[in-house]
Amino acid sequence: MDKTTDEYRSRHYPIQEDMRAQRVEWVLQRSGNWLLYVIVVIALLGGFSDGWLSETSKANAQGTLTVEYQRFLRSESDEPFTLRIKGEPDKPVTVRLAGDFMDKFVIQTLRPQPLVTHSSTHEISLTFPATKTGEHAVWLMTQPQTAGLFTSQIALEGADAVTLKQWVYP
Amino acid sequence: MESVLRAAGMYVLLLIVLKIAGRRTLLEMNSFDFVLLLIISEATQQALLGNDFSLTGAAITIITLIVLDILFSYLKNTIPRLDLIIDGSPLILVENGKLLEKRMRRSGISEEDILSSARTSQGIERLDQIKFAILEKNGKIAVIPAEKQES
Repeated sequence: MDKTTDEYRSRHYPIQEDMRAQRVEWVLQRSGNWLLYVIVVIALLGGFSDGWLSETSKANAQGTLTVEYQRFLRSESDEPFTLRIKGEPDKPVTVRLAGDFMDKFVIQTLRPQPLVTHSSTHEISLTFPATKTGEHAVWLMTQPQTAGLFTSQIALEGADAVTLKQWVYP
Repeated sequence: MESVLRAAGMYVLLLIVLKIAGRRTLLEMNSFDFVLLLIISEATQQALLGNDFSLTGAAITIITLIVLDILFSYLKNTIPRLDLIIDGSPLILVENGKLLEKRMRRSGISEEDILSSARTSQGIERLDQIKFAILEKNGKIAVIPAEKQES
């Protein structure tokens, strides 16, 4: 007991110690270690994009459009979106990308290429050629340009929009 | 604007992470620490500059880092309390040949580390030849040998 308290007493020779500050530092270091462990675990689970916590999909009310996307994104890194569309057979489909999508993302790649592209002030409409089954998929690779909470709408013409809320880390 | 924020953010982040890792990390560079340093600098470089390949971008980043360094050392000199928080205070680990075990355990320093420092700096062979071993602010262990008549 005596020795315990003695070790935590500040010495004055040969140097001036400050054991109170030292003990605070140790406590902060230990809790800091835990903080670092937690960050690694969250990153493994996908809390900072790319993982179980982050990957999700959302469909519109009619079930004709399903968007596969990430809840968490990172600014200036490549982030994928996949649109799966169940349209009518032998009819072209038009997809509208609106909200923050066009203003805050840069589309790196877009597969397949649309037949026609229309734009208005904050949105773009892409028309894809008809398929026999009416099923389509669009693969987008995008890059968020800033950080923050992004709200985008992706809609199939003639159906409800899918609203995506995404958090973008700096 | 972004370059300045990136540089400042990275500086503070590294400061905090290295502070959490403790002084032991920078104590002595073995090959593993060297690899770690290389990888950390590589990871940092991308976040600091991003896609900016311009001379201006690099200049802004470098100047921001130097300014932060100047500011921190100025603040540390004017506010001793801040110096204590950022750099800590030196810590005695061996007192008159006796190990202060609790302090050593909490700082992550083993008897072997102290003896190794004692051998390299003072040519000391045994623990009882050490009067004081002090963990300095920069992570090095200073060893003060016991006087001849004592040993």
